[in-house]
Amino acid sequence: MAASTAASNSPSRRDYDTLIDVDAEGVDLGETDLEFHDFHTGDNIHGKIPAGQNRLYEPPSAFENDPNRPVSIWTVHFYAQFFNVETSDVLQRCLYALYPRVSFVDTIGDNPDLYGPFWIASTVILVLFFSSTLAGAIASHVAGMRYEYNFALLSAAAALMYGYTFIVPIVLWGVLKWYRSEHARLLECVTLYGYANTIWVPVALVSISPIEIFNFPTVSNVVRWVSAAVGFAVSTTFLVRNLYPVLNSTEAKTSRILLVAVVLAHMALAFVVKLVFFAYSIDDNSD
Amino acid sequence: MNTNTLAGDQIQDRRFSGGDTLNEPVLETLMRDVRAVGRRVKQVLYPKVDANVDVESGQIIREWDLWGPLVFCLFLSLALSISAPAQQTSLVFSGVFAFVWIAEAFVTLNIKLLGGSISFFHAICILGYALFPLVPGAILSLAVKSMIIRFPIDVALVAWSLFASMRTLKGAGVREGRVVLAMYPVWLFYGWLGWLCVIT
Repeated sequence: MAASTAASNSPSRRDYDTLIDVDAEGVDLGETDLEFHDFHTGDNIHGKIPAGQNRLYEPPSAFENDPNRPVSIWTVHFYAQFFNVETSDVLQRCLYALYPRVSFVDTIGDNPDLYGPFWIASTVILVLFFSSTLAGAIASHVAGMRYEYNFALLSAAAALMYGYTFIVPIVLWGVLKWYRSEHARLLECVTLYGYANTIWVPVALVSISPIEIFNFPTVSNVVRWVSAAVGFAVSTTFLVRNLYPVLNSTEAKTSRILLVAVVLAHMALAFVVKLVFFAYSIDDNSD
Repeated sequence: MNTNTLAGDQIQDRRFSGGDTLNEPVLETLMRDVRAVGRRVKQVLYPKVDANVDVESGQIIREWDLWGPLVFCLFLSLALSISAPAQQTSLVFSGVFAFVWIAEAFVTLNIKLLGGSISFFHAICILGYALFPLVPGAILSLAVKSMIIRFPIDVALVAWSLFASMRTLKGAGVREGRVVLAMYPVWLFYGWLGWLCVIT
């Protein structure tokens, strides 16, 4: 049995022999062109990554030599590209948002960030809560009552600011895409709306209006309306100035409707800020 | 705590490993954890207790826990909810508790996104331990009713928290030009909790 198996296997074994022979002859390592390559690992580690390069994220350690290496959206490194800003950049952007001298879109260039939108919105939320409760405390001190703060103001402020800063630009971007605008970029829209919120920090602080200590509720109510109006005017100017070129890329009629919608949405925000967070004197007067 | 030396580096076990823990009283087991929490509080809040500051603050970065942050967060939420207006006690408790953890997570994530080299839970541990000065602040609010008296005390306590956390985080490995961006959310976090102690 074993002998017959060996006999039947022998032709195929011979085939293997020839195959192995061919392989053995064909093995050729060729010319070895191994040499040292310079992968520029030391570049760009200090200072900002220059614009125009393929900036997926900063190389945080030595093993990421390949700048074209794809990064999964589930990693922190993917999102680090939206936080590629220095302190001076953020301060400059905030300043330009308050005092729009130059085109903001040109200032941010191709480096829009999410640091500003998120933390400016958070600052506005906390400052709105702070000034609203402080104004309430002053008013009840004047009225001789014990002040009871409303914790729900915080969640209201969070829903309002985060919602407005992130949902409105996404909707706007979607609409622009729908009308085939080539200039619409989502990150730029979010950055624009995020920095437009900067004005609400000084507005909220002015709206504390400590004049109330001297029992002038009408005066401080006027101060609050005026400061809310100033906040609305400054941020609308900023938004419209920078959104106008983008909106203009659609048809004339569509762009006009969109512009009106942007201004109306912003006006709604200003009214909600004034009426929800600085309504104490209104209730006081109506009583 | 065992300290060994291996290849010139100091290796330190994170947990108690010497002795028989089966036959000891439960109280002793618990006290060991309490003492560990106390030691970390001391490390974060008095960074200069030991002459060798770098070794001290480096230690907490290597051995973190979340017991201290949990306990301080619970005390803070409890004290603030007791002093909150009557209808809002449960809202304030859950709100402050959630705020502390979510804010700590976002502050740490922000540091990581800016390129910080600190590990996630170490930063949360440091932020949580630096919460400690605000606990007496919140308890004080139960006793002292005048906001004008509370305000300077709470400002001092918030300053202590900020000083301690920033000193221990040491910029958290973020590049020079971004330290302010990384630390600004920390100011917001402690500042807001301090204001809640004042206004409550």
